[in-house]
Amino acid sequence: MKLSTKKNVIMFILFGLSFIVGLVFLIVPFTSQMPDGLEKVSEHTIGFVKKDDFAFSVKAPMPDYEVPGVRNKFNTRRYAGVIGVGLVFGVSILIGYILKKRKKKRGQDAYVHDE
Amino acid sequence: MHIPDGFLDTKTWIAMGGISAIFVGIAVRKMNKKISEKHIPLLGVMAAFVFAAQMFNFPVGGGTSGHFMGATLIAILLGPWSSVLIMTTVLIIQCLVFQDGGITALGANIFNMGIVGGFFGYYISAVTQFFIQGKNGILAGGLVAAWCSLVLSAVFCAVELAISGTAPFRFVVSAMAGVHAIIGIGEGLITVATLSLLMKVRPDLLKLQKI
Repeated sequence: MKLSTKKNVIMFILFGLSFIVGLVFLIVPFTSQMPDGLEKVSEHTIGFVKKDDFAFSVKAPMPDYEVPGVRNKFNTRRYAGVIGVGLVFGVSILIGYILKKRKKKRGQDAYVHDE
Repeated sequence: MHIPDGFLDTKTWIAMGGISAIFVGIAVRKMNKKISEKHIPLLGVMAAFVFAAQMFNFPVGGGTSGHFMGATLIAILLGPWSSVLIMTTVLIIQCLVFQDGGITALGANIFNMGIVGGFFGYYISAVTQFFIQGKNGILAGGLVAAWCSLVLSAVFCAVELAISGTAPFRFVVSAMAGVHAIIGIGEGLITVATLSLLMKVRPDLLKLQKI
């Protein structure tokens, strides 16, 4: 199977994204809510001092991976995960295409050998 | 390992921001030169996978959890500069949309997870593949590189905290390395599982030109 045909690309993206979204739905509600490595080290260290009192002046739209308005703890993280997956995918593809387009404009578009 | 706002002092976060900006700039130029249409779908899907997998916190004992980082996995599939760019995208979205990782600490987080993770992961895996050839080499390389890159990222994170005067050097380095040595096992296993899945369903993707 090669990536060169359009159909294969679409299939790869569809299967890839459904697999990831499936993982998010299945796993996210059951992930550990305990502090991560850095949080733990910072919480339990004597002398861990705040160095800078910078705070977000504008709240992030979905702080702590929770969609505002969705109360169910299971679902709010699921939805946040799916929104994040879509957002990250979209932005990365966009960056990829912009980089590719700029390359074309400079007239250096050569087929990249990759096999 | 996302450093929140307030953990780094001003000189450290500005310096880390500068270093990361230079690396991201180089990454953009490198990608610009070498990217082909074949890279783009994998780029998007892997970025989405890394974002999702970073949400899967698993317990590592002692009331602590850890999560996958992913830089090594991307570096093995797409190369170290791609890893820098994808990790930067993921970290910016995590910071701005989900408030995971501070906005002042963004440069440090990109450096620790994207740059340290991507480059060490890529080259450690390459060295391992030099000694063990074939599919087993890729898997063994993934396991070793994922573990090492995660622990190294944690050490760099600890050094930044120590430079900031947030915590005493010896303590924070050993504590961070210790916790992440355990989380690294999870990192290694997820990397190997993803690589072996891709080997089965799309072996051609592992042969893409590395950027």
